[in-house]
Amino acid sequence: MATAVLDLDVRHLPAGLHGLQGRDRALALLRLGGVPAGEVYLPVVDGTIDGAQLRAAVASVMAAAGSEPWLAGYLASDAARHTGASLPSATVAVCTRDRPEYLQRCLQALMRLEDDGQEILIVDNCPSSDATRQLALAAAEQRSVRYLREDRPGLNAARNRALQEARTEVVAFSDDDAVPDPGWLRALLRNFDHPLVLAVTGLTMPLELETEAQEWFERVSRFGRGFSRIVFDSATHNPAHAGLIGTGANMAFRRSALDFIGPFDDALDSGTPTRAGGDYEMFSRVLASGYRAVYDPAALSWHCHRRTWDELRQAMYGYGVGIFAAWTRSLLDGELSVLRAACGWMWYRQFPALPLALLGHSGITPRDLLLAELRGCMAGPWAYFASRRQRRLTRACRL
Amino acid sequence: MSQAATYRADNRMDTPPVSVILLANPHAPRRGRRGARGARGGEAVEGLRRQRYSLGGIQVLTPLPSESLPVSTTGELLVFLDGDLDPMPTFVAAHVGAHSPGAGQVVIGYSVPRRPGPTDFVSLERRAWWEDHFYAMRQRGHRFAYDDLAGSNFSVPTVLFRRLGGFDPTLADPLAQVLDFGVRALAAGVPFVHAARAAAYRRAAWQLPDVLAQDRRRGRVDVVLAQRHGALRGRPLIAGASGCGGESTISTEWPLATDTLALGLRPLLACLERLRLRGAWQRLYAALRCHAYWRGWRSGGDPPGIAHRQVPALSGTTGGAFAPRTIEISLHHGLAAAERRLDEERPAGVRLRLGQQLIGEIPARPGAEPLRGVHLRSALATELAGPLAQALQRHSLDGPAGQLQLHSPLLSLLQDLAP
Repeated sequence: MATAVLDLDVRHLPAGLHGLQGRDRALALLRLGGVPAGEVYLPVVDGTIDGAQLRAAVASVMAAAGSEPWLAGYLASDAARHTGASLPSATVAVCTRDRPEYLQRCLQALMRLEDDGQEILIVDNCPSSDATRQLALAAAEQRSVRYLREDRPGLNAARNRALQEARTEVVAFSDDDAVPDPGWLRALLRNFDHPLVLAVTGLTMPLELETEAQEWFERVSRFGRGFSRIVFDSATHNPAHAGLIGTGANMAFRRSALDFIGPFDDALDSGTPTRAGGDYEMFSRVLASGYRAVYDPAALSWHCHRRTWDELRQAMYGYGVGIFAAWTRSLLDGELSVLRAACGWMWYRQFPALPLALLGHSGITPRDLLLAELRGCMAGPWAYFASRRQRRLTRACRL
Repeated sequence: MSQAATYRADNRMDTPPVSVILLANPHAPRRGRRGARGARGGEAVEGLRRQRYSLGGIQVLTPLPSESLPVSTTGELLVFLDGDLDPMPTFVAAHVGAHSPGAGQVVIGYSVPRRPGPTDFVSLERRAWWEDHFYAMRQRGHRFAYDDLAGSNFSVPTVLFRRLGGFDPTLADPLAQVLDFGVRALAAGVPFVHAARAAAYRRAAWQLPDVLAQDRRRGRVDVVLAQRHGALRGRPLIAGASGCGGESTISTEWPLATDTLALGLRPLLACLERLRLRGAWQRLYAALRCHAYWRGWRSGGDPPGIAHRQVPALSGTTGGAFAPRTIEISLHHGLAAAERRLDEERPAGVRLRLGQQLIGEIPARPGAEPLRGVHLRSALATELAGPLAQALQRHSLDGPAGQLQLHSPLLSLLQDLAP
């Protein structure tokens, strides 16, 4: 059975929730004053969530964990409002490749962002049709939307193109399969008030949990990083563990990052043999260079996870490849701490789960997903070298 | 006294003449072979040539150690600038613009480390420290303290500077002169403000020997300040030194042995950095800095007293200048009322309650300005957020909730959800 995904304001809780037939539970995002403050799983019986049960569950979540970080954020942002500090100018970039149906939904969400004059860049990576361009042109009638075609394959190549083409201080990136909340951009931008903050990420919640693959994705590789704002720097966080910072589906970078730490590594991430890890490696470089990254749950976006099991298995394999490819790149940069991180990853994450998965224990990551990730980890370093070689050859051919 | 230069642009009568006094920077990074640390002012003078300030004149002066203020000073506004800082073109204009007419305040500029810069761990740590220092000053609820002047980029109206007695030339160290002035200014009720646009860049990199030398110097200066100003007595003032454990005692009791050990451990820092063992590097770095600070502290004063981290007062000093006065406020009537009361009473510290429940305390801080209303929300949003949330929950369950006027959806929520 599927899980319903709900978005509730805890100050206006309904008397009960109905019409959830076909779901045996619900994941509710709890907002307080519009700001995400917690989440709760609720049982669904005959398509209904009982009102009293809902209020009790919400009260316990808010009392346990939700109030303190929310209160701190409330008072801090309240104080910030009094300073009148202006937000930096921003561009929203969506890098996409032949997925017009996803992009359309993403664009609709971007049209609902508060209009602070931001430009939306659609970076069309190696397109096989004109569909993305047509969508961008249609959207340009409502807002400032610019279409860019990037013929070098790879998500990181597209991200670099967006950083180069943007004319603003900050570039916020959304995946085409994400649906940003109306307050997403402003929430990201508020965190750039410290000069050392180069990157900001936000809370990414599942848009739907309709299939088993989506449920498992949310269990084993969820994008959300909790409901407290976290500032990452190399004094408190090992740059090799940059995955804690957030995901590329919901992130923003200062454009000066290009000058300070260099562009995204175009040998990494989707569209290359490494399949993933481009955002991870960039976050890692931010920390290793003495800058900071901030995770702010107020910057909310919804992500449509892989729907089929095969897609999920491919994604897990890709994450394995990507993370080890990213670590390989960091190692080549002299970041020796990745050796410890890689060993820790294997020792604490993979090895304990593997025998249980092989024995078919319930509640453990399914065997095929775990093995796919493990195979990806093994392939990661070689994929990185292959990707670099491919890049060099492509450049040489162009010259 | 040496006069470095005088620049005159098109005179505009509405802009006051400004004297820029170049200081020997207490926190100057290493400058390589040129060894130009101090008030030579190479970069500052270069930067001052590019000022966009249309002037009654910018006079650039370098004081001698024996001078409170160079006698040839003609400016109505004094801008003190580290000779190693490179001011932005709008630097002087931003300092002038930040002074409200008749306000009689000290304006602190932004001494910003260059980005990108060196990426060795010491440089990164120092850059982060300075950026955090100025970031804190930019926050509305920042509580200014005398050592906010340590960036050596600030301005004072000449009349106010003279009224406060200027720098004390009997203090040998320029850093001590600056900090001592800061203590006296705050004790006299002079407001400090920060002007981020009054920016000047640091070009050079920090290196470990410089950092440790500065820590040692800071230890000596703190002893001098503590001898002069009673409230600062018995308290290590450098960031992090208060967290030193056994190092402080060991460093002051067995100085020779610890000096040798510290010297021997320095190369280990480079090894840890090469291996990117950041945690171990930070612990060793902090220990070396603590050692340097306490060695400076010991060399700065009376050893028996120092060993117990207590500095005897000199006769005739300002022992009671910061006698802390702590009041108690209940948030019953809302944050705005509490803020008003703080503005009226300006206490050194405050204990906060919600009904009968104690939330916590914003403590008296020696060498800091008295509390203002604006300090309340930032304290509640940071160190007191947890206790406040707990108090709100307890209060909404037990207390007379109807009297609360905090404009907080959380409070309403907690009231709504109370059984």
